[in-house]
Amino acid sequence: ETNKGDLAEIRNEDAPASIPQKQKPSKAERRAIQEAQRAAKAAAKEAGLSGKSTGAASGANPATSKQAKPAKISQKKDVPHAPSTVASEKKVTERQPERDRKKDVPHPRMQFDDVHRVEKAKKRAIVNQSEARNRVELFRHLPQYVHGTQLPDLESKFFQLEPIHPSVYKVGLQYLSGEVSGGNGRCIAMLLAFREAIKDYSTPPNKTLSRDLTAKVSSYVSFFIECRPLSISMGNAIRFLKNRIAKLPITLSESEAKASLQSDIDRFINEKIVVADQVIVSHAITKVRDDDVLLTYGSSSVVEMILEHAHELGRKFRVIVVDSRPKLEGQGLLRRLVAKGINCTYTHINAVSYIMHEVTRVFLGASSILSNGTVYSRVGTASVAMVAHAFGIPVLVCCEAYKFHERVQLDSICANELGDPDVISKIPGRADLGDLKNWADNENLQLLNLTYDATPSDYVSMIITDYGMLPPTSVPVIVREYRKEQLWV
Amino acid sequence: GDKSLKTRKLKHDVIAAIGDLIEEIDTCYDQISEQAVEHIHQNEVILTLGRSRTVKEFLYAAKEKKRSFRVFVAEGAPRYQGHALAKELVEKGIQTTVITDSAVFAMISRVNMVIVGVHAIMANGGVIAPVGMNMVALAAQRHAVPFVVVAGSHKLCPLYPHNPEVLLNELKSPSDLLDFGEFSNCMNFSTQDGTPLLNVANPTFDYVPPKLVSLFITDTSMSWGHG
Repeated sequence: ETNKGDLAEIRNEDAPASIPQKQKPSKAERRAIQEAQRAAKAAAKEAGLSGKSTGAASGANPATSKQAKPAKISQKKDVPHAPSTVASEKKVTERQPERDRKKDVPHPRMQFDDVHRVEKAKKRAIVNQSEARNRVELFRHLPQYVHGTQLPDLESKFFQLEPIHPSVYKVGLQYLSGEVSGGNGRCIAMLLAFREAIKDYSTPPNKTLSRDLTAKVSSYVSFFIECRPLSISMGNAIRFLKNRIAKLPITLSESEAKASLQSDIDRFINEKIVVADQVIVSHAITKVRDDDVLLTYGSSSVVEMILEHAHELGRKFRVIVVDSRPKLEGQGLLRRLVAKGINCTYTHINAVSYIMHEVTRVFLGASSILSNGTVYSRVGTASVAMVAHAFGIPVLVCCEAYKFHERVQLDSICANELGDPDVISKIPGRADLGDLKNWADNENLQLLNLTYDATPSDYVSMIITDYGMLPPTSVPVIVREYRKEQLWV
Repeated sequence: GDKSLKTRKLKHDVIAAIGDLIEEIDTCYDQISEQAVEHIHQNEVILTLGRSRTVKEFLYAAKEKKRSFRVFVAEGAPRYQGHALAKELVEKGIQTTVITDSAVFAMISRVNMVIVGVHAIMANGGVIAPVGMNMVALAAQRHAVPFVVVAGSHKLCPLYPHNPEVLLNELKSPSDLLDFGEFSNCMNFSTQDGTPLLNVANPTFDYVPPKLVSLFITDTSMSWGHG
């Protein structure tokens, strides 16, 4: 427990040693501890012990290293891990507004080719992960682990892991197995799990609720990262929750504080996801006219809602669902649309040039939209948007505002999620194609299974959010305004 | 007497001409591969889609001449011939990474050159290629990556492509994309207005316009670019 307490304290510090330390203007004792640790950090740095500017080596940032650890852990596991760098960066930026609203240099993300930090992270891992063979050189900075081993391992440990609340554990297993996927789905599942955990939480003696609960939430988050790297929507939700925990007035009793947090979570889910989706649908419906041919890629929850709502309103249109390997998410969407009686065409991503002259509008979903208007979404979205742009067809991206992020990404390689490479070698229903059966034996052969890609903003005609319909250049404005509002919520 | 002599001569000429064609097709690989060293140098990253024997021989020749390069092979759904090509390339010790077709745009920023084989080269310089090639060509243009087409001269076609997506294409069975079963009763024509609720598009070829192609390498021992 002291470990967690320390972590909480360290978390309250500025993460990297290079950033000027700012005091949390609340507790004197915390300040004293921080000063002591800062002095230790400075001493260690002078002694030349700290190897990294991120302050991992100096140990003064166990918070950072704890972030790094989940990052490394996720790196090592084959389980598709979103870059834990995203998570760690989020945690840093989460703390920044608490201190002083200045925009500091963002924390450099966890890079998984750093052996030292990867080793440290491995020691703290709950899920046993083994590094994959035949890793693609270009992606050494991302975690890649052997798939298929973690789920049975975690299931067997179910009754042994006391620190993890059962609902959190259940959601982690759902992420691992792929049962829960999609930005909104994962975020809602995570928040509901946290809600349950908060309901069952009781403050240990000699601890303050906010610090201890923050540490607990952080440990749950690192568990989630081990199961599957966080999506950007999840990162933003975690930042919101930690913000609310930190802002709890000291005078509240434990039950009042817990009730307040639970209602905050409910409000977040309702306002930022459920109602936001309804607003997006109402905006987007104005863009669907009779005799439209709408193209969509993969399976986006918002786009599905738009199509169903348009069909209910009696608009005459047909839908083209473009799908791709290995996830084949479009088939699920196709099933649901056909069940509603919507006229659909199904094709694979290679045929998108063939099908594009029939199309009048393209609706795409997004995992996140970055500050320069780049759409970070399922791999293949960029190709679809590019071909639509080449044919002069408007591309409308539908994304809730809580998924926006202030970072910028130039291409799909600096931050991504690597999935299970075995899925590429096995093609369901085509047992005759066994050319890549023993791919891991051959050191010259690698399989690459990317999960996300970055669509340049010039391919996007309009972004539809719950704040309205905006051009891609307006995203940083929303991020700025949205973050301010979040703090006042 | 006279007629049978003419017939025999005619047969002989036709057989000789066919033999020439066969020889031309068989030897085109060598002549094209000779030009590999002019285009592949050191530390190159090459992208290809699907499987073309011409491309395979081209890359083998570069490897023979000790040029260093690595290859990203897009699997080329729904035939997935990229898998076969990857297997053949690693047998010769070429560093190969198999990617899905959806990842082409993501990876092309790190690629030096795209080398592909095609089905036919039309009279205007456009090519009929395996489905997905237009997407690759557009991505290559966006990232200023040369799009190189290797093809034997027997693939040159005197036709001008008019509406090539429809007229010069083949649509194959939906079973490549969807399993028979849950969707099959949506694909019948017995709905109210006679149109099925679900259509599946499975084209075989793609048309790549001439402006997207940087270079043609053929066996006429003369490389030529278009436009």
